[in-house]
Amino acid sequence: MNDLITILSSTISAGTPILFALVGDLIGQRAGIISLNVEGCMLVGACAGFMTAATTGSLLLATLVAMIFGGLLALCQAFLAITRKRNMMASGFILNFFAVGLTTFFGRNFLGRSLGADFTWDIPILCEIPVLGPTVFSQDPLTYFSYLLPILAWFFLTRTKSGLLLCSVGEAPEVTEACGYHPKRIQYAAVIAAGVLAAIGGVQMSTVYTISWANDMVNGRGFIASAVVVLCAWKAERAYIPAYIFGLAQALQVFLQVKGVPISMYVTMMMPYLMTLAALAIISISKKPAMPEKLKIIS
Amino acid sequence: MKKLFACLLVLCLCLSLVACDSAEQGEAANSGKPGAGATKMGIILGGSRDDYGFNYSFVSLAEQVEEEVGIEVVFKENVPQNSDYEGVVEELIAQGCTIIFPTQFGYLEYTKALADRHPEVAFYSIPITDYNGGNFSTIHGELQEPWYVMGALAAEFSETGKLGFIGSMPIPDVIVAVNAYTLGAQSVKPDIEVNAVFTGSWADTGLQTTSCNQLIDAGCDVIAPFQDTIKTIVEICDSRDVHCFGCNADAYELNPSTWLSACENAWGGFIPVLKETVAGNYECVDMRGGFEMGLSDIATLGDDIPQELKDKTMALRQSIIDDEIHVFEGPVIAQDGSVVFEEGYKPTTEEINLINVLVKGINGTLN
Repeated sequence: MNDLITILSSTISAGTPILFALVGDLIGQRAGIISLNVEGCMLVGACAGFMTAATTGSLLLATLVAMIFGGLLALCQAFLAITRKRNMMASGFILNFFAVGLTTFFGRNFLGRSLGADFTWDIPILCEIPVLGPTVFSQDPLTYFSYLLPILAWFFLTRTKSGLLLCSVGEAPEVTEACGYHPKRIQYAAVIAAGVLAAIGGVQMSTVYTISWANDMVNGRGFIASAVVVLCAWKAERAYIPAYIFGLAQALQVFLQVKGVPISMYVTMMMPYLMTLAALAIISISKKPAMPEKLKIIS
Repeated sequence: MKKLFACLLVLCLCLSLVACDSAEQGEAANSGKPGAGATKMGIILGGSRDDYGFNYSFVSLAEQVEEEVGIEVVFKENVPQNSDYEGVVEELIAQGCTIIFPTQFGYLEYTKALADRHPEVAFYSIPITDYNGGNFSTIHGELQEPWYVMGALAAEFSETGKLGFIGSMPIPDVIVAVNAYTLGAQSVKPDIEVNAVFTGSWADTGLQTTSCNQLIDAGCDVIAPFQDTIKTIVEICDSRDVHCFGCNADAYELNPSTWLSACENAWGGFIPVLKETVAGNYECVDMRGGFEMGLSDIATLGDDIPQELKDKTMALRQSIIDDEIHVFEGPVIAQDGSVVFEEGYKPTTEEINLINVLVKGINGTLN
């Protein structure tokens, strides 16, 4: 029972930052723009959020500040990829390096700072359920929000006019334009939303998951999120699967070592990537992914 | 008029280059040996010096160099382990650094090329290498002694009898550390259990968090990391009310009550060598040692350690210096029951660094 709690708890905490970035990039990709810069947005969010939380003790304020900075970095991507029509992969990639430098410089004074606050918020009654209570319902507000995020994103993209418009830009922007809307504006909004959500993933990582700030702490999670958008076939409601597969694999990577399971350490180290790749392969052979038309041009 | 001005400018630049060249040549002619008369030393780090771990230990080196040798220290941080590093060192040399201190394994190849190109510059490298020779020296603090003392301290301090170790990669230094840590713990409690996990990364805070939490869930109440950045581990241990060690540097100030101690890179043995180099008496060295040579040590002991235990720990340290205890003295038995060192055998440092198995009592794998 305790082992199950350990694995579930580790899976949720490791998967949550990826879930935010994944849903964010998915929204951007549905509008036809790949935001490789979600890695940088996560980093900027982690840094700005930690600095704010350590200074004010408020998770809400930390999240808001992270969203602003994540959104600003995404604005750069939007400007380069949409207005200036630069290669979206290259601009996203370069922005990540920019984010590493920026956060290393500004976060320096907070490398040794403690947060001094615990943002865990147990949900009454539910937190007493065996196994699920101490894992699913004994988390922080950002993690609770992440539980709902894919459903909210699914609802937005498939059941609201704005969401359908956003998807139409990713499929046929000329049609959107013919209907009297501005595709570029919609793309701008989608890319900024991707950055904002990734930044929330970053602030969750620094203030709740690892409760510390370290240089380049996101360590490729944004890239993974960006890659596994394919895994959920651009359907927001499927975002839980790749995010928690990655979280589970990372949890098992350590768990198998702790339990002394006779399996090569190198196999356990590969596990998060192996499981994600396996899932990608299964998806790609079982069903044709619903890739937005605009993305097919660059793939 | 503009053309005349441009011509004058070009002439001035050419003259200044000639002047610089002759000045540099004159300096080199006077210096004789590498690093002679140095006024600046460059330290090149792979990460940030504020990581409270490996890179942070060089801040202490810089302080000692500036205070005791009287030369300026220039830091270059986050330098990638590729050919960019050569450009960074060339820049330092152009700034007047005639002593260079690279700190990463990944710099070795480039450092060798730089050492060949700049015979007037003294290079001191941390990682052990065959490139040692000429103006390329190595300074390597051995880890087994401090880690042994840490293991003994952990065993005394632990109430559950389970210790956690979060390793990075299974490289010789890390293998020596976890083995010495276990042998130290077993010297106090022969049945103690050491749970070792390897993250495959030097500073993935997410994996550090997962590892730390799972080790604590498994009953470990003392965590020892071999990671570059240890801040996250200190925070997680603090939030879970267990104690932890640091790694490579004295980061006691981070959290004196959660902190137990650390294996610290010490520089006491290096400073006299550096003084000789600055005085024009450079000799190529391959320094390897622990407590006695002043190249590694035990960091400040934490506030939660009772005074009696602190005294015992320092007494153990002294016993090692006095050669009463040899960390890897046989019998040393591997996990599979095979004999690593026969009873009574005292292995050399080279033999210790070649161990590629975990000792009995460790719950973990290298394969």
